[in-house]
Amino acid sequence: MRVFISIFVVLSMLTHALPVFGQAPVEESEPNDTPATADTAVLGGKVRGDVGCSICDNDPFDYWVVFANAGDTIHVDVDSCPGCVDAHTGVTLLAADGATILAEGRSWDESDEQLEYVVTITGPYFIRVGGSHYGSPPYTLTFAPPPPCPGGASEPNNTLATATRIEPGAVVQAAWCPNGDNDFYAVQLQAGASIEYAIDEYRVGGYYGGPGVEILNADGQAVDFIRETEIGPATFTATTAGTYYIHPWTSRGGLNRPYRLRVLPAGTLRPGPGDPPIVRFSGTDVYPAPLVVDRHGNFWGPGNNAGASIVRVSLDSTVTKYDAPDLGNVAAAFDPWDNLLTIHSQAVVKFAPPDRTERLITFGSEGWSGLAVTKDAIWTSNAWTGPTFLRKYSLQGELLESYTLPDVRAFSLVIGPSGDPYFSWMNTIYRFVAGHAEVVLKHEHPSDISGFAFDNQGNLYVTDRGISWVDDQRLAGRVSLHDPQGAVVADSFAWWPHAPSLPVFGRDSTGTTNRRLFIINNGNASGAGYTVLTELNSAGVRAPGLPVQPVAECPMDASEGEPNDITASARRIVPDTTQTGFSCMAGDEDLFTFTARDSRPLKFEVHGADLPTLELLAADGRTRLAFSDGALVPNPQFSYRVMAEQAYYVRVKSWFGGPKPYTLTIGSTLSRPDGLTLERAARELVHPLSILNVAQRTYLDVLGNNDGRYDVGDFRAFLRRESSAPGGSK
Amino acid sequence: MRLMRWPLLACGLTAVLSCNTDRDITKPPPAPPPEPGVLTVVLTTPRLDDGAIVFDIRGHAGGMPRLADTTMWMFSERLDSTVTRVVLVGELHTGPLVTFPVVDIHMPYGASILDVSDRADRARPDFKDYQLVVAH
Repeated sequence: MRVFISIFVVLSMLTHALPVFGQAPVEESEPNDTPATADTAVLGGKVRGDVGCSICDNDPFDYWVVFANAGDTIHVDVDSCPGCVDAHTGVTLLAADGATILAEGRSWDESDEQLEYVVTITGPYFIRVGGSHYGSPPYTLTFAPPPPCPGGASEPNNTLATATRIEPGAVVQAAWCPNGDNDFYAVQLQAGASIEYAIDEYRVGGYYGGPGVEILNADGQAVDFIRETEIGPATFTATTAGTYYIHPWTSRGGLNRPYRLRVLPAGTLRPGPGDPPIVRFSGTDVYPAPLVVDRHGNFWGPGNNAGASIVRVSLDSTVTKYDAPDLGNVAAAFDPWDNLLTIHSQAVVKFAPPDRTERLITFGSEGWSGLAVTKDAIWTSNAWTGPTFLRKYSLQGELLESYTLPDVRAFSLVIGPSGDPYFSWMNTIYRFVAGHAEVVLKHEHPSDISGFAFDNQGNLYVTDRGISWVDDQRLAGRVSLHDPQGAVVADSFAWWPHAPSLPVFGRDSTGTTNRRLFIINNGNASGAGYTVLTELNSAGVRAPGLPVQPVAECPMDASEGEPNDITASARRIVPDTTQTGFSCMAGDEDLFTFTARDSRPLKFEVHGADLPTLELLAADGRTRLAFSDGALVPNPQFSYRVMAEQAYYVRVKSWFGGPKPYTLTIGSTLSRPDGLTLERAARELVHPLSILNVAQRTYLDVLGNNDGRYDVGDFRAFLRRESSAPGGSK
Repeated sequence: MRLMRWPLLACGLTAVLSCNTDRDITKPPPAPPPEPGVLTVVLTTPRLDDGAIVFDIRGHAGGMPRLADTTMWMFSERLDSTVTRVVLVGELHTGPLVTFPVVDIHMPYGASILDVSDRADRARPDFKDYQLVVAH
């Protein structure tokens, strides 16, 4: 559609005193959503505005108009939000008709765009400013060339032909600027020669900004490649003599994108005590968030793909995915009974593989940022929205105490050797004691302590991603070791990887925390969700980790007969009795065995515990004959006709471990007639056929030896059923 | 005279009998004084897996029986002045079952088995080679 500029607009441009560069920006005046209502700008000046969502009816565009003479260059430099990815501000230069596109902005300072156009026809030109689907931050347009890029000593080196020549041992300070800048460095290598190469001192740059380095051969073909997520230093060995090109690269170039490239002779970088790191797992099945280690040494973490709220990762990289209703997407901790606690934004949820969940704590709308468990309490923190709090719950989920932290936020909640909760916020680790947060250690430079872990001597292993929350200037991420008072023992403890977070100690096959220290290398460079699980110094750090969970003292019941987890150690029982026991630790199995005297139906029933299951197995200990799930019925139960002289196993296993006892009753399927008591049953033996009625005598006979008459054997069975422990007298 | 001759003849035939007649010919031995004490019912069993028993104690009424082995369970009730019936459940072996106090341990007492079951609650078909005695 052709647009005619009103005479008013032209006159206004010619007669109004317009601001020039250096003066306060001209503010937009809505409505300016069309060329006809465009606000006026001037070359060399600045304007400021705010544009809405591009697919919304509310202010999808702002139009500005400038007057330019033939031979002028129209520069439009956007200053809006360099780090924004999904909400950037775009500019388009239109001709005087308001429709013909003359130039479009291209990202120059990360997401912020820039365009230039050499004018051939004197007249008005329109600049259309549009937002993204999600809206855009406020913008400033400067109608002047953008500021010069820093770090230009090596420039121009944007092509292989103009590559900067370096020698092994070179340390290059440079920058990716503007966005899309390519830097090539040429190094001459003999066949078989090796170099180590790495970049650091760069900014993370959001999810998509992590840089990489590739090596090209003389023909420009890539022969090696490393990313931020990979450990280093990367080593490259030339297969043939010739020129190789080292190409540091990022998708987020701009004014604030420095980097340092080091190209070293192989083996010259002095390792830290945590080196060398070894990658134990890498991939997209695990989201880079807290991991916990179970008693078998497996890691549990958030799943990153559909159908996998959480995943279990073994050290052989086997990944098992789990999903269930209400299952939290972060595996946060184990409680004292070895139940896995998971978290989502609204709740703490107990989880028993493969699919059983039970909600333990329900949050309000405040969400969570950390969770840790002591022997008698669950601590949670919230650092994302609203006031920051620390809350203490009982192990059963009742709120006990709540504290508000006015000056800090609480991430990476960890229980220390004292049993007090510790947390990190930016460059500081705090201990929360007596209702107050006290500083334990503080990194000198602005940084982001992404996690920490205690060994059993109280030393702290701290991961720092090196992100400054003050000026967004990236420092090299690293791992450091501190003594219990916070003093530095080793910094860097390990030189690699670049973006470490969330240290966690491993556990051996007995469940004991060991000296194996693992960290997650966040996969920013490859997009959210790319996780590298790395072990530092696989020979073992100097002390085992603090136990990752408090272990409950399980009550023992003599009638349960622990250990009775396998058929070989099954507790021998007889029908018509009641047993008591505990599924104290998650996964505990209690096996009982009996040999049926007679062929008759028996009723099996369990009460108590935390969602117990009841199972009848044949004499081989494997073949399931009957099963009942306490998660589906209040008290697992079934009836089964046993065969005389056959052996059976009964297995009681609860979905969740806990201190609640259970009772297992195995008895006749007949219900006890009213009025039948032990005393009356005994008196019937003293005065035959004169105390009990027919129904009562029949019940006792079936309960006992089922020989057609009531005798002392039947009474014996009844006594056992009623009291289960002969020993009283009357 | 004729009425007096029969008692004299009987006494002469059985010297061991004491004769209470208006006119004693031989002097009987003095009756022993009552000797209170505790008697024990002792079981002899050929089995190793007895689990319950019902038995009677016969004799002059004494006190109620008490368990010799307190891990067992017992019920007892007096049927009349001379019979007490006992129900006893537990791991039975050859040996004492119960004790009971009496006013005179020299009076005659006996015990008899009515029912026995094994520890799998099966009733014994007979009590061959079982024995119950009342011992001092």
